[in-house]
Amino acid sequence: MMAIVAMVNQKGGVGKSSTTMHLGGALARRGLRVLVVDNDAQASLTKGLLGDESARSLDPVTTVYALYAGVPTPEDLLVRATDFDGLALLAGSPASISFNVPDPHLIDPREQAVLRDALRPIAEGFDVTLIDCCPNLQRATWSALLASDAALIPTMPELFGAQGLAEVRDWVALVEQTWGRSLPVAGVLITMFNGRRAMHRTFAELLADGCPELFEATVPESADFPEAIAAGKPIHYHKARGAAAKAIDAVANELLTRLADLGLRADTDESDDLSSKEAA
Amino acid sequence: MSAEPSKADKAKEKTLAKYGASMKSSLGFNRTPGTPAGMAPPSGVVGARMTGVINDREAAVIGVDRIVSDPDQPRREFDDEALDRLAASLKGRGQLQNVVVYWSEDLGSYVLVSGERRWRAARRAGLTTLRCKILDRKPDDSDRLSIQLVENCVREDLRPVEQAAAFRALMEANGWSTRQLADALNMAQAKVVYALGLLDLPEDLRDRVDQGELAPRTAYEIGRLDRPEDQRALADRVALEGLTRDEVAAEVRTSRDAADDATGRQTSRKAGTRSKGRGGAASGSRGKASVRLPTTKVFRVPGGSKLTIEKARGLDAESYRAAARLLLEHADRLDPPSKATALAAGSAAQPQSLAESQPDVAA
Repeated sequence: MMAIVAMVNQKGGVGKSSTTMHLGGALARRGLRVLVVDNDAQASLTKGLLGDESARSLDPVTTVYALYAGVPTPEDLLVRATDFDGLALLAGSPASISFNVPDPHLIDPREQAVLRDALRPIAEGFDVTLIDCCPNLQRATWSALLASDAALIPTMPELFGAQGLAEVRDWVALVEQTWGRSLPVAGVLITMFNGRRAMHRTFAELLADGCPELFEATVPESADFPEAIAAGKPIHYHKARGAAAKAIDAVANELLTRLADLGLRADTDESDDLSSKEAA
Repeated sequence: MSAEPSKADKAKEKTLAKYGASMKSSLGFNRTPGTPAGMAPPSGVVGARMTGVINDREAAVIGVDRIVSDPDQPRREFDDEALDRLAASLKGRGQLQNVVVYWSEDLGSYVLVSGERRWRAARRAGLTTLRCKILDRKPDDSDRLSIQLVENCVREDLRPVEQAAAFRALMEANGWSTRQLADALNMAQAKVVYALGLLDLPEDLRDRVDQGELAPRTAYEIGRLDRPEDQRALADRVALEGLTRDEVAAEVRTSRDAADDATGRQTSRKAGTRSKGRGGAASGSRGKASVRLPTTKVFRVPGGSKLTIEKARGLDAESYRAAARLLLEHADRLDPPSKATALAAGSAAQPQSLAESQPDVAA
């Protein structure tokens, strides 16, 4: 069973792209078929996985742009294999920026649903699809929410970084009001957590009280993450045994459990058994 | 983060005391979600309208100059006038049906599987794009033929004989019976049978069907006559006398039975079985004398009136004479007899069929 998860926060720089990349790598590493979608015209995720040069030279019709523009590019040109087994990328393109209009909930419903209708058949071929979104609720993020089974909200444990949380609740409510379907929040994930800071610990505690979806696992502040991204690799392909990779593993476990709870995936253990059997 | 009553915990408590209120409010706990700041409120619910509606990524709008015709398309001739009509319709009403294409790496173009007429007409009309259904690969030969033929079979602008030819081609391509074809196209088997009958008519009669002079069902009945000259004669009468389909069917039965009588009993029985179940107005007694008469006859009278004579047991010569007498009597009542006969003698406007009956009246 497939699950599509939108990585959303109204705040920029809270670790959406970075988490998408590392989490995608961690899930692929354990034998799941993973698709990451770069739905942000900044194309950070694409640059991270393919390198700046290649990312810039992509033909837009082989990226998420094709889905918004209604270009019928065949699936095998849209879905790119990466250097990492089991991890595929639907690249982003700056060309898609013109589609990212405000008040997307008021445009023609068919246009709102374009990403959903194009992406879901592609996502059928994967166990988990993670959509990296823009830090605003314009058409790109809105389309991603409509395409998704659940939302994952990365947030920083500081005021500006966490303010977007309330906004995302509004987004989710707007999906329900407009489309009449509920969009569950699979998790709220604290990123760049530094346990030595009183402010971070305080935030973690406050969130734990007021936010039932808060993940116990956090993404710690660590030099390994930016290094891995500079090397163009998810953390598991950079320092597989490091504390940073272990932390992402814990996040991956929790995400799979939540998805299973939401009925979006078979239980984690089973799928692990299955993949190890297949490998054997 | 386990519990140690430490320096760290104290620092946390201090932060909470100092900043807790503003942190809590900024996280938006216990707040009912509303319309996101800066966004317009939703204008309505789209759920119902969009339930079960999916944008089809296999469909696309493609520039007509990016499409080429199928090099293997069997059809090479396109009626100029019909293309003009289609072009006008595309311009006026828009494109109602997608054309079907696939991408050819070799040709560097999309290749038509079906819709060549629409594509030609679109260029004629000056349209720059067509809505297309895109196949993910080139269909193999039998698939392609079937797609083209099925489209041809259900096209509304197709003339009856063209459609009949499409039926036959599709049956031959798939080895189908009329039943299977009817099922595949979701139409009545009778319609297929009638259509196929058209293909056995001589060419001039097929043309008359295509031009709308002869209804396909009527033409089918005519086709049951063996000799082309008889078929033509009956078709002429349809045009001149306005015979209905049932009348034609009755005429055909009469003449077949007459022919069978001439050739002997065995064939007569055979003819009887063949026409079994073909109903019609005159499906009454069938047997020894067996010259079957039409029960209804319609005359289109020059001058604009129409005359219908009906008799359940069949119309013989006497029926027509009796009717003629009745008509003349009626005319006499309206008009003095002496004057009327005088006029009738020299009148070219006298209805022909009635004129034929006049000697009997006089006698």
